[in-house]
Amino acid sequence: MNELIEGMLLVLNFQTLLVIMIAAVFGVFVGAIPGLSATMAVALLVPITFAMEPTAAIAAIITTAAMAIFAGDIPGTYLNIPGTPASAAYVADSAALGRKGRAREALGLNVTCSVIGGLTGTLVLVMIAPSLAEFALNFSSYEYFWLAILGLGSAVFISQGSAVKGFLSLMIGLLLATVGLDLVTGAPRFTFDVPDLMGGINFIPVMIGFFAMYEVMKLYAQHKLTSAHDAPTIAAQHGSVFGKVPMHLKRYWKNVIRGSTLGAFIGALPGAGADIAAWIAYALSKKRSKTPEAYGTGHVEGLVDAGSANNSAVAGAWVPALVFGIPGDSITAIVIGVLYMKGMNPGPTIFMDNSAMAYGLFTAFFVANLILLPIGYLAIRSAHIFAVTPTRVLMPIILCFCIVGAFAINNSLTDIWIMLACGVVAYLIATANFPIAPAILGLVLGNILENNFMTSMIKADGNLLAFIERPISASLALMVVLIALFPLLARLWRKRGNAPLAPKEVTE
Amino acid sequence: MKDLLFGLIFITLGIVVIVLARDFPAVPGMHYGPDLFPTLIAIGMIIGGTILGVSAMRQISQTGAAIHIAQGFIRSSLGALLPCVLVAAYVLFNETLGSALMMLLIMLVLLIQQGVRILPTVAISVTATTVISLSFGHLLKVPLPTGPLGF
Repeated sequence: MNELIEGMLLVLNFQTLLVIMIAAVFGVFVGAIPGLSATMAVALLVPITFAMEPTAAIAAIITTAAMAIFAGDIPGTYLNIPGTPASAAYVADSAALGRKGRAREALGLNVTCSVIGGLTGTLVLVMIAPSLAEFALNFSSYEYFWLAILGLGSAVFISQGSAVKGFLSLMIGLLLATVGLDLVTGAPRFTFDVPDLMGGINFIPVMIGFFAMYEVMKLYAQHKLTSAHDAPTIAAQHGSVFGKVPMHLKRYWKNVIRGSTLGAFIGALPGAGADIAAWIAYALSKKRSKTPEAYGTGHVEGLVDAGSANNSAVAGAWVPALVFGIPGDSITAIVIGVLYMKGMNPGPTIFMDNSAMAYGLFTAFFVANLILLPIGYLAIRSAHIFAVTPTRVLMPIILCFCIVGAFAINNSLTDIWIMLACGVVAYLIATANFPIAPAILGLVLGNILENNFMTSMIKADGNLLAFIERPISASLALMVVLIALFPLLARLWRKRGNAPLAPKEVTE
Repeated sequence: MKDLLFGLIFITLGIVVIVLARDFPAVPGMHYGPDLFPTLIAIGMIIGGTILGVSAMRQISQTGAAIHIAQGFIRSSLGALLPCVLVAAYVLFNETLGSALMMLLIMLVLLIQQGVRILPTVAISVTATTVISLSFGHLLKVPLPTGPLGF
């Protein structure tokens, strides 16, 4: 009980609450501007959180992520451009509502669903994580090996697009993770006699390169940019933000519950994040609906499902991140790095060694989701600002942020070179439609995977059967196989006539 | 076409990694040295690269069209080079010119390139540089190099 109060006090003080407020505004801004994703918001935030208290730093990240995922709906509704990939699933519906002049109503419903979804996800996190951690204490290197494989496997097979490309992208990440001193023997690998590389590649510059530098490059690669003058016109809006929300909620309360719980569990799956949760929730909602033909034409039902699912996935993704140190999505991949730096090592023991901090984290989740309502309301009322903020003005500023942010981690110029190189690599592979998220997960999980793999190999003296001898490791291995077969199963499913929505590319 | 190229790049990269990994010192008495994991990754790269390359070749032989897309890619990539060059310039000159001055330069160049008018360009660049320098340099105590002008 003491720890609970202590943890709550870590968040409920003036300083942390102020940080949360600022982070919320920042999150709205980044999420609402097309081309700036929630992951990028978090990556840019990390250098700033360096100087903060651990709880404040984590709270800032949680708030930014939650706000950015909701705010992605704002340009989606007004301009038919999803602000973050997580809003892409239902952008057709929300944009149709916007054209009818019902944007405020749609966004009001969206922010309410986001809050409910976020709170549900948090509840799932609070209830599952500690007991799962207790269970995870029995895990040995074999189980951790399979967990890491599971996370990486879902990133490759469940993500959109070609599995081969996802796999190759993952290999890049894993290779980057091997740079530095080998953890078993201490031999330097791929360091090319650069002293800064001995400790391995710091992944914050990589993250900034992959998610922010890459976006900047992409903007300058485009030929002509939409200037402020020919910015798309916005239909006249009427109606209040929350006026019709109770009516919709009353009608679709089942969808809210379904979307939130589904989102939380998809989020908790290692490797699958908010965008995948939104796609699956939307497809399921359409399949179960009485009026599937109305989907895509401004129907609120799918909005309710997917809008709650993506926010609850944000919280759900923290379950594997906290309990196993295995990220649920690219945002928690960044978070794990921050947790280590703040001395809050993720893993099953986090609830014993650091329980006050863990409760603080849960409290931060509740506060972050509650603050969504007022800040979200203000954002909806002032939505036209985001529509006219031209990215061409923002990108140079973001580039400078990238440089200074990458430098700030270790005060080392090598990190800026790494950031630059990763931006170039991300740009090159993304032009050939390689997904980037697997590379990040590979980098974060590479050391965990290798350590547990090597430990297991040495323990079993090369006997590969030992990897599946224990019951838990065997069932985890089975799950990996199922996930590897997922594309095949999905294809069979489609052949039976239940064609789910083909995920569209996000237009930015 | 791009897929074929990337397939080849990954195969080459895989081979390079294997060659480099062979030089890692083995630990006497242990079967598995530091080269095992990188070698496995390299094998993965070679297999993945081969699959990618072969399927791309099959596509090319079916459709026949391929070469011309390279032109558009190169033209657009020239634009993408600009921010990269500026980042490199920052790393090379920030210690002599100072971090704030370099950031100011980067923003001026990028904004003018995008056709933003001079007055807003200067205003935005100066404000943003001041905010970033002050927040990182003073608030967060990041030792950003100060140039000859002292900021």
